[in-house]
Amino acid sequence: MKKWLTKGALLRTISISLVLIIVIVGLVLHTDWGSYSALGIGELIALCPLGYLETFFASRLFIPRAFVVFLGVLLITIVLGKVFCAWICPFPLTQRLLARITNKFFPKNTPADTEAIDTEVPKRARLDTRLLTLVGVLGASLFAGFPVFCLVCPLGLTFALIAGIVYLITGGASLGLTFLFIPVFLVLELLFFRRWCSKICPLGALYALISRGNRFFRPHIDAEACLSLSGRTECSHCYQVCKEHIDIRATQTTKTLADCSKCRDCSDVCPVHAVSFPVLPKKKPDAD
Amino acid sequence: MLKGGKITRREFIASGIAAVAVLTGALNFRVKKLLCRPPGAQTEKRFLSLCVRCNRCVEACPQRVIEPVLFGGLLELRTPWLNFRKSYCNFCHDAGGLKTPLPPQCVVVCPTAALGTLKLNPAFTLNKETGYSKEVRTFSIGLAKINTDFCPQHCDVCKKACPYFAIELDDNGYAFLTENRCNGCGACEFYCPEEYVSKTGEIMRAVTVVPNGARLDSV
Repeated sequence: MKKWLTKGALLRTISISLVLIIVIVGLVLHTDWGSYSALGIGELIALCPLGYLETFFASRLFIPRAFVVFLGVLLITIVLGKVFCAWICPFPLTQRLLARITNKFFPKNTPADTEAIDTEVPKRARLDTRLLTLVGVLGASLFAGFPVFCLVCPLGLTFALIAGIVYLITGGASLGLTFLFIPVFLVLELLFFRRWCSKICPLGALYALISRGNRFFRPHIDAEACLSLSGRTECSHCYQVCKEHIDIRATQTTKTLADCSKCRDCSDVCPVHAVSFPVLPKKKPDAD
Repeated sequence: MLKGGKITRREFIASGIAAVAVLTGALNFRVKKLLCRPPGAQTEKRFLSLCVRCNRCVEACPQRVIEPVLFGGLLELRTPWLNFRKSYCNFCHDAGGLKTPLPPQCVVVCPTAALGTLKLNPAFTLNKETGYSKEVRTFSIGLAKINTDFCPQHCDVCKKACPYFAIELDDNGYAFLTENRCNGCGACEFYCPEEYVSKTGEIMRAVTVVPNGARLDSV
């Protein structure tokens, strides 16, 4: 049985919980910190890049301040990569925990944590269905005149559910029947779309697109230490553990590494500690 | 694609159905009446297209009059509205003082300018004689509407509550509104002691604020 709470997983859980706690404290104490859609203090904010693009298309208005914030988020993502998915977004963690529970009670369900990973490396890049959702969502926003994905975004719904419960206790807002839409949709997304992150999420697609420009903190594999690359055994732990299905043993292009959320699972799982995340890319014959 | 890719046919169909359901549901299932939006929300259409439902204005409001919509239609869900039964809007006057008014907190914190930048009039000072200048209405929330059928004679609660001196009593002792002074701040509705049940079963007050959106783009 593999150890499931590695150092990386623990750090990630702490990071995700911290953001969640900040959001909830802000909600209860009536600060202006906001939620996952826009988090910040006063005029200093981080805005959901997908939210910005959606409102841009829906309203067809150029809002200079929002655009500057959007550029800021772009810059952070280029420097740090797709860290949002592993270190901030609570959805994948909740989904894995929920899968663990449901698998316990209904063992006949699909085995493994979330999805079975085939060890064989695909020869050809698969069609990224998330990009289709991204284009679809932006197109729908343009047509409908409101940010379409914001209505069903699991992050927004998670926050709305917490807010609803808080307001129910404190009497901060009146709840109607439509409120039920929030938990129902959230549960649907959590339970029935087990591949939400890798196949549907347009926000992940957008972050992956942006982090194609990322050059820092990229996983680096020591070819001499690696059991697989040096030909000693057929070890593929790092590939099997990767939630983004990246095989770091193969020569990487910026396109495939763009999906790396810097979760450090590959580094944790490597039996010979051959994987590291250096700040600057180490010199290596890299196909770009 | 369905077999080679990791998305199954069932998931694909389910997501398609969900997307269609959400779209049609959002478009058809709406709040029956317009809601009062925080100051700076211009037309309802513009507001709904820019709001990312981040809840910041709700949290930033010092008056705690802004609430998220957790009822009604899917399209309005989680957007902010002003509940004048709980409190009223003071346009955060205390923040900048009356001589150098700052934009309201909700406008300051809005990340996408769904609550847009307000054109603040330098001559925006409180005058006991005339109330606020007429330009104030360019960023008003709505317009108070007095239901004379239920408004009690000689009651001057709303008159006393109004910071803009927009409500006065006529010769018969009934309240009437000077429209160009009304900012839709909701103080009159908040203090109004007279409640009645409308034909649709809603609890109404003798004075209610009708949102601006209705006047601006007649949704």
